[in-house]
Amino acid sequence: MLILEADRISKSYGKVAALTDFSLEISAGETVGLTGLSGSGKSTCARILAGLERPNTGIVRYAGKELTGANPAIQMIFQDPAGSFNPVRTIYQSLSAVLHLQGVPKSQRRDLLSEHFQNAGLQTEILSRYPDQISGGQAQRVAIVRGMLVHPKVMILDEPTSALDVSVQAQILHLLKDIQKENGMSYVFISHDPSVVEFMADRVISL
Amino acid sequence: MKFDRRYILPGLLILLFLIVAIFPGMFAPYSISDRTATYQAPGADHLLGTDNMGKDIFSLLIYAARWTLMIGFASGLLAVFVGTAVGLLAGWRRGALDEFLMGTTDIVLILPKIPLVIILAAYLGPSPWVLIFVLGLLSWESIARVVRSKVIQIRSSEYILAARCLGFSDCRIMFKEILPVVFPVIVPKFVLVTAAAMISEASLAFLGLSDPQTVSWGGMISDAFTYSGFLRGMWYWWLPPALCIILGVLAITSLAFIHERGVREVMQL
Amino acid sequence: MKNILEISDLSVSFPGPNGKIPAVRNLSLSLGPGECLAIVGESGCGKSVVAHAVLRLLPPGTEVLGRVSYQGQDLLHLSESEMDQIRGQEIGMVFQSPERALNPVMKIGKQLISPQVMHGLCSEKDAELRAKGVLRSLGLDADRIMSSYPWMCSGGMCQRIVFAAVSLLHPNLVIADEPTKGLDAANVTDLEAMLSTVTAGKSTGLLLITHDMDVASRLSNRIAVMYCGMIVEEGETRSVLSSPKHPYTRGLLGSLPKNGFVPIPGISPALSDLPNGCVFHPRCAFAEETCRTDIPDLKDGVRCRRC
Repeated sequence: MLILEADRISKSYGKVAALTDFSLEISAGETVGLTGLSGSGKSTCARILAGLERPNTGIVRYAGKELTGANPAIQMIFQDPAGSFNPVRTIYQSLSAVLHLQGVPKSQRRDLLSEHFQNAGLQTEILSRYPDQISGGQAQRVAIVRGMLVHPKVMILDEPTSALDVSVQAQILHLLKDIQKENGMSYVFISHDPSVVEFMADRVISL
Repeated sequence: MKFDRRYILPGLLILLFLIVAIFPGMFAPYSISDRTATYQAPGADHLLGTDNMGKDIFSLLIYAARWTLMIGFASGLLAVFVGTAVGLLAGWRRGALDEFLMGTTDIVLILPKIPLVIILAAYLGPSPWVLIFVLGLLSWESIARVVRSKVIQIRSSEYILAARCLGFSDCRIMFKEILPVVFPVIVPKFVLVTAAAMISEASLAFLGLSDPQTVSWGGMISDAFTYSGFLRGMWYWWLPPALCIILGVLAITSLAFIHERGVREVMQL
Repeated sequence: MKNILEISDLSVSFPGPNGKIPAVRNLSLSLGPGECLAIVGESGCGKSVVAHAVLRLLPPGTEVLGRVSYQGQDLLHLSESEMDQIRGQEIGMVFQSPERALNPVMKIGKQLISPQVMHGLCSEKDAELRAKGVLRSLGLDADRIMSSYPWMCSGGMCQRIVFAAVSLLHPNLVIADEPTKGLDAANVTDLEAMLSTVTAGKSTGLLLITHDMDVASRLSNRIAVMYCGMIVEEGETRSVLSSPKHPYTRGLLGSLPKNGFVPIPGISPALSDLPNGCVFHPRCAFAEETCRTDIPDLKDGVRCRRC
């Protein structure tokens, strides 16, 4: 079943063309790998697929309907793990705000987050820390947990392990595979490293 | 964050001014309506002598703190409110709204402030509320610019993109995610606008454009000048209010500079 | 042959809010002429701290114990002005991001000529000729580069220019601190080729600090693996990489793409909260009772009781 689809999208910034006539079809539950050199438009593509930017021409469809903006069904994980969190808030405050949006009452939030943290191999002490007080690997796990809180159907992973050490990278890749096995969502996995993309993806597209 | 010792001296000074401004009755030996013999020299009864109306200058000095600080802080707050709102909106929305708001900001920026205030004060009457309104509405442009550029820098950062993906509304992102991060750059701006407003108030009062019903430090210097305080060599009439203005403004601006430097060190801007 | 650099029992600790934070503990290493020693490890393991300790570039307030002997001189006890003579001329440095290593407002020619003159190597005229010669040997248009500013050059060009600046001073030791971090694959290959010329003359030593095992395997003769401020394994690069002994080294190699991304369980402990005994025991599948209490010695290049 087709879930997310890019139909001949193009994007340029000023006179610089970042993406030309790019098409992609993502089925439910599959992992599509995107790879390419720096400047090949990988990140632009990620942001357009996540609805954070609109293409100049072409169309992106989610579940058959045109995607006109960000949509909780499509979550994105970024390269800089610490930068994915508001620096003036604790991890608990950041995640609690997401649960608030989901209508989870305050009394249940801490227990729910503790459970998610345990599943992702995180200690619950991390909840009370600020983003700059946790390691890159921990921050990336928390970012994945946060994305999962809204039960997405597609996750766009933009170089999720490129800023991490190799042993942490291996851990995160396995965590992502486990989560996918459990929840069956689709991944768009972007990396400059062909071996990482090959490990994760069912099929690979070079930009 | 470690407490910075450089805050102590200016902080204590501001605190002293604030206490005096809020509870003048506790410090002033006379009320501002009490009158005795005019032009008395300093002595045991009147610490700084009396003025042309026979009022105790020391008591006037204490009561004046209230209006001077009030005008300063109130116009500072007004400027911060307008500037932050304009900056947030322009930086977050961009596009045509941004261009319109920044165009307006540029116009406010090039307005000759003091002459305009003089004209408006003369035209609208010398009420301190008019002064607060005019000074506040003429000093927000630098705040708007700083806030806007900070917002533009933050809005493309990954945690804001993540917040958009998670489904947070624009309004929530602006006030809950961006505003707290922008806040540290607003604080020193607020303080500087406050100091500038205090000086402007003093300048206007000296030019005679203040409400005779309210006592302010600038007004006292103006009175000393008009009613021959200078000719009679009554330095104890005009020098203390002048010193108060200088000390107040110095304390406030140094607080701002220390804070700004601290923020730079912490955020490595 | 005599060693160029000999580090013995080096310990570095930074001041922290709750006492000292040990960044490097009891580290001993030596580097001979013509040799390349790679220090590998993950972020926070203290590998860059070693480089900065050798160059005396650590922030004030850092506690540095032990001995760093460069050709018989103890660098830790030299005065700041004596250190200035050593840095650049005796010990060359290649850091991360070449664009930032060059002064953006000075012409490249001047940046290549003046260090040679300053260190008294040759006259200004000779310096210019030598600079152009080195640039040409690196495949650059020497005349054009000499009169341009760094921002006019691409990342790859800046990288060559930085390397030219280092090699012009004929240092006896080159320290490269994460030189390949953030570079494109093509630039990594380029840089590796340049760095391999350092040791080709058999007189200069190269201390390579990197997180990238592939780069280390291609460039170094010997390799030291660091974990939480300690060397856990050291030896010939080929034998360490082909038959790693320490459980951490094995885990690290297993995490690599070519070995199938097999992760090490657990996470690296914070330096302010290190476990007692062997630093790796909480994550080690073979940990025994004694591993929890005693720090094992480095024996035959491995710091593990079982191995």
